[in-house]
Amino acid sequence: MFDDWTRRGRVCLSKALLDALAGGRDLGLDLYTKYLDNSTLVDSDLCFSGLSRFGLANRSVISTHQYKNAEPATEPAHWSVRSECDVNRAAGMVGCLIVVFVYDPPASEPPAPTADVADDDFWLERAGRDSRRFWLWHDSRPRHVQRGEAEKKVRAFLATSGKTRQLYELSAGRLSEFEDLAHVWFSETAGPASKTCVSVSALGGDYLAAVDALLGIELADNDDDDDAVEPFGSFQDFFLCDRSRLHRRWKSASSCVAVLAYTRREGNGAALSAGNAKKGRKPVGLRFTCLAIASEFSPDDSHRDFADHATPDAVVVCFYGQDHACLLQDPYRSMALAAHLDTRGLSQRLFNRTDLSGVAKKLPESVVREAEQRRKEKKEAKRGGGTARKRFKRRCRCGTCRSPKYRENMSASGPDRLCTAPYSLSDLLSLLGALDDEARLVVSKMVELSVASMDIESRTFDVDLEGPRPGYLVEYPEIGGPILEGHVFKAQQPIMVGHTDFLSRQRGDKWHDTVKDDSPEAVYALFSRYWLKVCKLQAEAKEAKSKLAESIKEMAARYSEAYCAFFNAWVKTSEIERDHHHACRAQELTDLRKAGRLDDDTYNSMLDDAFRRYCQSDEWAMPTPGQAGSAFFNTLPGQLMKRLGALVSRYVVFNFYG
Amino acid sequence: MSLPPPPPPPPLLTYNSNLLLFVKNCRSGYDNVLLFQFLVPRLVEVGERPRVCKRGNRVSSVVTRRGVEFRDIARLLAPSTSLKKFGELFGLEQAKAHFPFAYLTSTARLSDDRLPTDLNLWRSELTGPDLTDEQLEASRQEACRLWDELDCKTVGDYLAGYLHLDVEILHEGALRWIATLEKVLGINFIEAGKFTISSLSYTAGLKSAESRHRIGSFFPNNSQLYSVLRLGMRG
Repeated sequence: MFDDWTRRGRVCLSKALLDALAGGRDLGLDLYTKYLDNSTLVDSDLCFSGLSRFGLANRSVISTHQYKNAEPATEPAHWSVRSECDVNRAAGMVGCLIVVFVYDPPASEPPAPTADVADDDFWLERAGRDSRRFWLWHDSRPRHVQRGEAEKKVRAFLATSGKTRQLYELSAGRLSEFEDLAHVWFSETAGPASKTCVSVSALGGDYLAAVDALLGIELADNDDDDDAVEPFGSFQDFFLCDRSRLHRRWKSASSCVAVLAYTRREGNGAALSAGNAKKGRKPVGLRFTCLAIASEFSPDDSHRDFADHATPDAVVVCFYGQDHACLLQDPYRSMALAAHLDTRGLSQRLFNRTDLSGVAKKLPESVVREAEQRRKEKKEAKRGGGTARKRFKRRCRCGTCRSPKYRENMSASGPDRLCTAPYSLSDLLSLLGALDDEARLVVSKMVELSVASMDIESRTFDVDLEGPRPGYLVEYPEIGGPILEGHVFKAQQPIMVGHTDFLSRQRGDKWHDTVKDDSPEAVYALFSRYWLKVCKLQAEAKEAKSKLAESIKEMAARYSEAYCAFFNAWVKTSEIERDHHHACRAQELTDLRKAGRLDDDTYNSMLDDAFRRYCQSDEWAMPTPGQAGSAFFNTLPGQLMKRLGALVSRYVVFNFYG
Repeated sequence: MSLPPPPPPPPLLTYNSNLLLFVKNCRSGYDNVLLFQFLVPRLVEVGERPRVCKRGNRVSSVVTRRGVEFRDIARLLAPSTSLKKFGELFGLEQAKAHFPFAYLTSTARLSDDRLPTDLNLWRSELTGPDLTDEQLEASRQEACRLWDELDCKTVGDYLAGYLHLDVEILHEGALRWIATLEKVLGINFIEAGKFTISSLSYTAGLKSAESRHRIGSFFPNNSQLYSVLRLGMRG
């Protein structure tokens, strides 16, 4: 019970906790394997043979690569003591609830001894010396379970932080003592929970009385009042009650009171939260659930009967642990409050997911549309790495153009989707005046050569009808036996593949291939052979199509040559024109200088301007051969070449099932 | 009440002890599903970078870098069309044969030297589960005639003959369907790269609109129309 599961720091905390949960040293691997089996989802699209290759090696993969059994000090993959979800899942598998405390020993304090010395009293004594060094890290106990009931199956652990991480198991029976001693590091600046927190169970299980006590409100004052409220036996009562009455009840203490429940801290809870606060670091990763906000009713809240946003000076009451409540102090108060402030911002109004005030917000449609449009633009800008898409500039002031729907649907590229009718090979030949009977025959033959067909024959066999992945965490509803509606009870596996195309049929070839045996590897091998066959047949068809397309290719090549010749001539002429203009301008400037109308500096400057204009600016920039090539492929002959190339390499294998 | 222990799972289909893998029998596009499972991994291995188009659980096409495309021709046909009807539509000489797929549970069956006589094994979900015994017997006898005609020695030989028949019907039917659609619509769907009836109809509609409303039909004769056209120009 009191052994150090980390073996004086030789085993990492995650593996130590797994060992402890499994009930013995080196048994953590078994639990980890079971955890992975139950929690790993496998895509149904996975290939049989791929899995079969691993086969029994799976255990070795888990042990060596995932759990890293040979390196005890290394954290395992996919499971971490620092993840609340992981710990909860593992706890569910062993059927217990896990509570983990953290003790941060001073630097001068020696590590805790092993064996029987480090018992509960030992840790209570150490934690009692300075309760700020002792806090609750992980608590998976559900709140609706009574304290006594929960303790029956609770397993409590104590992890030490610092250089040597240790993990001890505590007696569940003394959990309340530890809980009272634990420092609530996000409440008061000092003091154990027994002094800084109010226990709800001590107040008869009334959560409202706990808040009253923390706010310093005397219950007797409200007894005769109309605002007297029934005791709150659960958190749900905060959601269901009349918030305006709560505000009237608490307004003497503060104009705004936010009641939150501490959910958990994300990440590494053992990384000295109290130490971070001491060093002035901002608290991060704290998660609170908002139970109620009682503040002044404002006109903005007119669509509901209570305020749902806190003010920056709000008092924050936080429920913590099993039944403790405390007042939050800065910086934790500000951090917890930040998500519930009344920012009135668009994004807050739309995407404030932390607002759990119990009423679904219904926003005006125009606000939603505008926000979605903005979000889309931002997303596009982020993806493109540039600025957000510019809005279409309105030129007209009429009602249609000024309407929000028009603005939202209009972008710089126009309002409508551009409908195009792409030209096929025959269309292009027709447009070039080359679609004679011979060309039609060539295209028709090429299409015939592009068509192939295949079929797969399969064997049918029964499959295992047990529920998929049964286990502790994935409860499988086995009603009326293991067969459930919609589940597959027969499976098929390919046994033979056949393929044919135009050339094969012309030659009288009848190709088929059969699997060697029933294994998935044989099917995989069959399809590998099939692919080789398809490649071979496609190459033959491609060669035949290339021969057929010679005449069309020659025609397109003649267009290409003519285009290139024209392009070169045009570039040459343009260069002559550009040089002429440049020379004329230079001559003009020289004449002006000779006439004494320009001084040297101005002359040089204007000469540079002329050089930049004619030789460096876009105005007289000559197209590159690459630009000329891409321009050619946008012309009809260029498109013809592209379509022809596509049809030559296209090899469509049809299949049919039914 | 405790349930009886489950039967031992087939060894090839289980991974660990509690993980079940199965091939889902999608009615249409089933061959593409098999290609997706067994051929696509190979295509990835050989660097073909296959583009797989999926809609829900159905694989509609597998397109490779080198231009080989695996497509389901059923996407160009009416939903209830079977291969038999497809062949009959074009009056092909070849007619789809019969095979007792319920009998084919293992590759070992391929070396059997005769077809099964049990009529229940000749039932198929594809041809319809409600066939009468007379119809099934007729199918069996037809299969036996084909067996003799092809001079089959084993069930494997017969399956190969059956497969070739299917593949040839499909190939011939596809070629005739291409020609028919080209005659009706003026579009060759292989050439146009349209492999679904919806995309083919859309292209046909665009072509029709384009031929009737091409720009020459309403050359801008006033400044406003010219301005509209100029604003709408691309490229």
